Amino acid sequence: MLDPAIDWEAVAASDAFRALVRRQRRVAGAAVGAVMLFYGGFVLLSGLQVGVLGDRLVGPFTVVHLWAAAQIPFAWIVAAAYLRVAREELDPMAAAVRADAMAPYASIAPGATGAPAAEVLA
Amino acid sequence: MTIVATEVNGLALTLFLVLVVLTLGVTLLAARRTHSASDFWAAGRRISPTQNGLAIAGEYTSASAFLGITGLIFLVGFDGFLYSIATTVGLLGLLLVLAERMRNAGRYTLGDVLAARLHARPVRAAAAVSTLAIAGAYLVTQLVGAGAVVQALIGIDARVAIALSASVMLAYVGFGGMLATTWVLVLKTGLLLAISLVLSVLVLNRVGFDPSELLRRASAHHPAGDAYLQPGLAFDAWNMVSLCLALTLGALGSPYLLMRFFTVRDAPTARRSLGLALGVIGGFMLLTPILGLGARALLGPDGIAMAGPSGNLAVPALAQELGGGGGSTGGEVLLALVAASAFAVIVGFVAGVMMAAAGAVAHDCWQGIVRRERADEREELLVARVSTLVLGVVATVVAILAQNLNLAFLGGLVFAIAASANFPVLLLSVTWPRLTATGAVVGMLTGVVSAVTLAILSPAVWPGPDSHGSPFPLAQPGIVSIPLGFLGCWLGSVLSRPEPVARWEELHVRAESGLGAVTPS
Repeated sequence: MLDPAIDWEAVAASDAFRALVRRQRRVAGAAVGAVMLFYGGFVLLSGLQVGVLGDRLVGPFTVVHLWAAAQIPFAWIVAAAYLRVAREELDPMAAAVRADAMAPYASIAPGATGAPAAEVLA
Repeated sequence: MTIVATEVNGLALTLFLVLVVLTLGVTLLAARRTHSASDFWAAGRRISPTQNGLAIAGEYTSASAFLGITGLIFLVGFDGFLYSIATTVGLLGLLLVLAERMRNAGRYTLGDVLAARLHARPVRAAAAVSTLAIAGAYLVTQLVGAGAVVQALIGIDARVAIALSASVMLAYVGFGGMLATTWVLVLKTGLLLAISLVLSVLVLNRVGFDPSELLRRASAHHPAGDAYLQPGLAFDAWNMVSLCLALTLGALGSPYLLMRFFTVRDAPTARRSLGLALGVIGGFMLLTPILGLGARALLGPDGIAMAGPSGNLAVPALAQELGGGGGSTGGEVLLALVAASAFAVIVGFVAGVMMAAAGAVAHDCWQGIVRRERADEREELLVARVSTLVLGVVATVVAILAQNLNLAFLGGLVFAIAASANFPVLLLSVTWPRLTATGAVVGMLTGVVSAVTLAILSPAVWPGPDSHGSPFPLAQPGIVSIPLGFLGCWLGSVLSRPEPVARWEELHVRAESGLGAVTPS
């Protein structure tokens, strides 16, 4: 599986790659943390049937209904935010890492931002 | 009163046959474009993000979602809606943690991702075992479900219905591979959304578009009254946490979902398609309480008998009621539409699951383990088709013999296996440099064995339904078996010799940056 054309060790140690990994971890970590609080808290507290969740809001609707109904829109908002950061920040960073790694082979691998290995080689 | 058909329902049968002919026509088109291994396993990686998003949504909604979740909401109210929420959040977890890394690191199967950095043969074998355990359980339960639904709604004998559904699914996969499977899944998602939307609007129309009225009428028809609308009717806190953990993390370990990321050109496209799928699935899941509570509110005292003990026929019964009741033309038309959609939901889903099973046998076991990557594409595809046929026949026979299987038990178990066996290994394979092949194998086996064992020792099974004094107190094993899966990975890794760091570095760079990821040829 090792691809002899690329110095993987050098890429792994490069500043650009390490910055990409750090940024990705921070973005995904923040999103996962938000989900754990909003969704994990919901599951735990509604499981424990915490009193305040049964308080009436409008008609038969209680606090727990509002919190439950907000879960899916919340997932949409987190996903939309992640998709946006990934597109605007992470994708260009990853493209730069690929371009740097392929720079020495630019003459033999046109389209250096793409993958060097064709389907058959990978 | 019951909705179980005593004679063949002509309209439903016609719709059912139209669907079969339509999807087989699509399969014929797909078969003409399927030549290479990449075509067969990954549709040539040319699926558009929109199509893949709709297909992921289709792959994420089995009959358990369409009929099962709505049936559960009908039966236990609020606690049933937790299934809708947990599965939706699972898709978000997949997006945030694994989707892009899997697309960058892998090729066709879950085993490919692990074999990219670990000693290939043992991890391919372990990945194949867990994939086949998940796929096998799904194939059997969904085929049994197809038999039950088709018999109840269309009036064909369940055994004939099982054999017919399996044959149609085998044709999609065997001839059209991933391309046909994708198109069938897209069609299925469309049908599922359309029928759910129509039924939801009709339900809301009956209650004057007043959600409060829907809740009031639903709780009035349930013996638990107001408690029906509050948490705790079905699960206590521990069971609730354990269930939600397994449902959410199960998405991150489902081999048939991971396989869909390989059908698009690159990681950003996989990410976009998953975003779309999350939108579609979330939308559908928001309709599930309208359908489940609607069935409770509108079917009245007869509802329990009509929906069946598992609640699976709550939506078909609701459809008949909304159309004007049994015997009315409107009722028959809506019932036929629901029956046809349920059939499409099941065959599309099992086709996707079968792709993952065939991948485990032909790509991981045959190509990877037996032939050590030396078989040519023609041979791999021949093995893929033969194994599809064999697995399909075995699943059909088991489904016919096991029609009284406890479907809810097996359905929940599948998610627990995916979450306990596959999720820990996949997460650690792209984040933990010290993971070894031994760790991966031990982790996967620990996950499968602990999920299955704890489920057998749980009150749902030991020594019979609703028993007291069973050795494991929770109906849902996830909260114990998922940590055990991680523990197995860790123990196996630290007790075995480290693997070459160069292979970790290659996989790490590949997974995070997409450098060297496979692209459409």
